[in-house]
Amino acid sequence: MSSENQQKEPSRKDKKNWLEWTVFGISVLMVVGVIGYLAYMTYHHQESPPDIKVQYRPDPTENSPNRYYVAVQNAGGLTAEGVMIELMLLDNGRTLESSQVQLPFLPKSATHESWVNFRTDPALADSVVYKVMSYKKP
Amino acid sequence: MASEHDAKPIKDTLQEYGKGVAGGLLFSFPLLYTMEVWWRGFTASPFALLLLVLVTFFLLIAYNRYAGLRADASWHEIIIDSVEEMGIGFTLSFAVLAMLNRIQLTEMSVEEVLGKVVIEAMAVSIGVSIGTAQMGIEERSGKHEDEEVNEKRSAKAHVAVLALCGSLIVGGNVAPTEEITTIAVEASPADILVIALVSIFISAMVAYFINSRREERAKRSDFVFHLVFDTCMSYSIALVVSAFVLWFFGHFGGVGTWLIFAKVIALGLLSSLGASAGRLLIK
Repeated sequence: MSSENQQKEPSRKDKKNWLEWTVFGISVLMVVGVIGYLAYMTYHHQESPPDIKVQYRPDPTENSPNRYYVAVQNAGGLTAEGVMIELMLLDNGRTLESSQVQLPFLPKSATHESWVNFRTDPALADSVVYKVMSYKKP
Repeated sequence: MASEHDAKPIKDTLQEYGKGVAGGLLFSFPLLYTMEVWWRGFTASPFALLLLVLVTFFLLIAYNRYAGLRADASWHEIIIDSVEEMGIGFTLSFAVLAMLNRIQLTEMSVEEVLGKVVIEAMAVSIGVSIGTAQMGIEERSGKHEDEEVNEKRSAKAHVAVLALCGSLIVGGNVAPTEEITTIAVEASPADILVIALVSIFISAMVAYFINSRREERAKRSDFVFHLVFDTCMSYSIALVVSAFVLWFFGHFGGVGTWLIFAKVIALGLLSSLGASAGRLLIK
C-alpha cells in the first residue's frame, strides 16, 4: 500500500479510510469463507438420493380432535420434490381411513412440520402407520 | 495505511455505499422475489454455486476495470472494490431474504441458507457495482480525464464487458422461471427462427444507433464493419450468457438437444436486448 502511494500519489479521494478498510476486511472474510466452504463441499459432494424420515404423534385440539402432527425429514443427499406421505388408521389389517400430506419441496437435511386430520377417531384403530408414497429429483 | 486526515471523508464513503445498496436492490429485487431462485438455492450442487461465485467475481472485476467509476484505478484497487461489492452483496442478500422470511437459521440446514444467500448475492453484487458507478457520475472531474476515459472505454473489450453484464441482468431475471420451458416446449422450429431473427434485428438496430453517432468520424467501410461486429458480438454474448444462466437454473437436465437450443434462443431475445440496449444504461 505505501509503495503504491508513493508511486502514484493518489488524490485525497482515492485513499481508503478506516470504514472502507473495515468493510473490505469483513468482505474478504465472507468471500474467502463462502468460496472455501463451497470448494470443500464440492470436493466431498456425493449424490445420494433423498431419504425421507417421518415422525408422527396425536396432536388433538378442540376444533380438530382427530388431528396428527407429522414431521417429515430428508436425511438423504438430494432435495426431494413433490413428496407425498400417507397416514393410515388400521384395524386388523383393514384400512379405516387414510390422509395425505404433500410437500412441494423437501431440501436435504430440512424438516417440514405438517398436520393431518381424520374423520374417524384414531382410538378406534389398532394402529396408525405411514407410507412415503412418492417423491422425485427436482 | 493512509493517515486519518489524508483519507477520503467518511461522508463520501457512506454516500458511495448508499448508491451501491440502492443499485444492488434495484437490479436484484425481481430475483429476490422469485420462487424458482429460492428453490435453486437448495437444489444447486456446491460446484454450480462455486462456479457462479467465480464467474460473478470475474464479471465484477471486468466491470470495475472497463466501466467502473474510476478509469485510472489500479488492478489492486479494482480487486479491493470487487471484494467489497461482493461482501455488500452477501450482506444485503442475507438481510433481505431474512426479512422476507425465506431463510430461517433454526429450521434450515447451512447448505440451504447458504445456497439461497449466495445465488441472490451474485445479482445484488453486480447491482452494487453498477449502482456505485452509475450514480456517482458527478465525481468524475476534469476534461482531460474524461477524454482519456472515453478513448479507453470505446474499446471492444469495454463494450463486451458491458454486454455481458447487460445480458446477465436482463436475461438473468427471466432465466429461473418456468415460462422459458413453456415457450420452448410449445414453439415450432419456425417460431424459434422468428425469435432468433428478431433478436438479431434488435441487436443490429441498437448497434446502428450507437455507430451512427460515430459516423462523422469514421469511414463508411468502418461503419459497416462496426455494425456487423457489434451485432454479432451482442448476440453471441447474449447466447452464451443465456446458456450459462439456463444451465445454472437446471433447465438442461434431462432434456433433448432441440429443447436446449429452443430455450437458449427463447431467452436469447431478452439477453440480446440486455447486451445491446441494456449496456447503454449501465455504461
